[in-house]
Amino acid sequence: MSAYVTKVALAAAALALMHAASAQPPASGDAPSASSSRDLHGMWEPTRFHVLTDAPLNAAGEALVQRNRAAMDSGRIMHTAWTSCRPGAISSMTMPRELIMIMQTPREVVILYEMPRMIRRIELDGTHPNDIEPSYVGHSVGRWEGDTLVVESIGFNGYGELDAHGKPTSTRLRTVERFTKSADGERLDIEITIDDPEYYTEPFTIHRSWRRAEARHQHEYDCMENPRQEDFANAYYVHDRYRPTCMRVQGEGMEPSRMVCRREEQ
Amino acid sequence: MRSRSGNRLTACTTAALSAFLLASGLYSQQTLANESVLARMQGVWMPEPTPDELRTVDGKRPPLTDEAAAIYEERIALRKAGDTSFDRTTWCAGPGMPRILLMPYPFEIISSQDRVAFIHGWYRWFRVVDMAGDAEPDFFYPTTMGFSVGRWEGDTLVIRTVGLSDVTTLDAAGLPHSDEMVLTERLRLLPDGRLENRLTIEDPQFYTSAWEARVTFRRDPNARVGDDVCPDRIAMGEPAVEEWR
Repeated sequence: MSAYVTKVALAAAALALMHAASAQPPASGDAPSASSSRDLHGMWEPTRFHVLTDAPLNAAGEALVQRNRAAMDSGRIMHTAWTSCRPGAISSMTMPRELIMIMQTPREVVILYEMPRMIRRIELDGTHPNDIEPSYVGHSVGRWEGDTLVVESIGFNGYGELDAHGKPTSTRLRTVERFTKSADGERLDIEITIDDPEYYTEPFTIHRSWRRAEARHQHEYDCMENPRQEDFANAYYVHDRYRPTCMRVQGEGMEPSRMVCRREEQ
Repeated sequence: MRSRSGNRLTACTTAALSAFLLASGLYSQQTLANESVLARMQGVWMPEPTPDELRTVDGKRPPLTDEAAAIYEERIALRKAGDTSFDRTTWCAGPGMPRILLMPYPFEIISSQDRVAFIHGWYRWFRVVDMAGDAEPDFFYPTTMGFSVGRWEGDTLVIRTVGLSDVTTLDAAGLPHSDEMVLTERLRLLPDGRLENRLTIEDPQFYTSAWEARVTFRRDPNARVGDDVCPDRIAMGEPAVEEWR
């Protein structure tokens, strides 16, 4: 084949590739393109771990934190929503851990957390319904302000702690998260404003960051895998609800251990 | 001469161009078809009832090895006597694959670029299928949901999952498996609008041959995949896993 024919064939190939690219299905709605700074899709990992969060506690909040501290000072092990396998969205905002997968459709942004295992769904351009049933993850709506995704969440159930001191939250909790991807697409910065007049004197803002992860798959965290009696031997529960529902009880003598689940009517 | 050569070049160019356009056209038509099928697979699905003892597509008991059959028989007897200590879902631990597809809880399929996710209505479990290629998944140790890679075969979404921990059972009755199990799912939309998943299980440690099971799902306009927290349900006196009604 002459050089000319090769060039023609290459040009045809280039045309074909352009054709193939343009033949991709049209994005419905205003779905972002892969290169868009409004595209948060992908696997992310925290840039660092956070154990404590500075927060302007009011007297009621301070009293609860002091109660937690007294229990820990007496040698007991504190159990929060996180450790009792009922994590709330607030703890993943303040204490990012392990990998998250962000899925994005024209209608919503879905965040799939590896640890603690949790799913947050953020309805884009949505509104909070009037009859939200309070939950650990709350109800989240999002909107774009320029290239920043602004997520407002309400409808929390009051069972969620900010940090390792057990800083409390109530059903009055409201959060605003502002997600901004860096220009090179490798970093996701989140500015989080936490407002809970039940326990804090004023709204306060913290910053957390994720960086793009190489991993193709998340791992998994099976929190209820094997709760053992000895794990709760010296426990202090921030809320009664965090008492274990099931635990593996040691058998006596030759009797093997067995899993026992507590039910309310018992 | 020049002219004939020109004609030959033109013919050659046209042929090359047509070949590339045809090839790319076929490719993009297939991509469009897959996008369209995937769009119709998205949304909330409710599994149709399956017996507690998972059967093959021919309605037979799976081809268990003698050792595996003994384990299964023992579990069936225990369960009959009210002892589900072999079943980790009893205390809200992960059901794993494919068990979670056989439980009376809805799941939602969503897709985003090179990923298809299954979000389950039982205690916040989810699974993300990597559609980016056939390469073996990377994992350190097995998990209950395993590591899934997907591809299209015509209108069928084929998902291959490895790294499935042997702590789970394949069905409610206690069908065992090893962590060497390879699970291949073939998902397709049926003409009546239901979703079908044909499961192929390859696990020479526990089964004498590969076997296939079939589970179907229907749209349920009332089903919602909410934030289910199993230990709270147990504490309220509800079962960890609902029975089929």
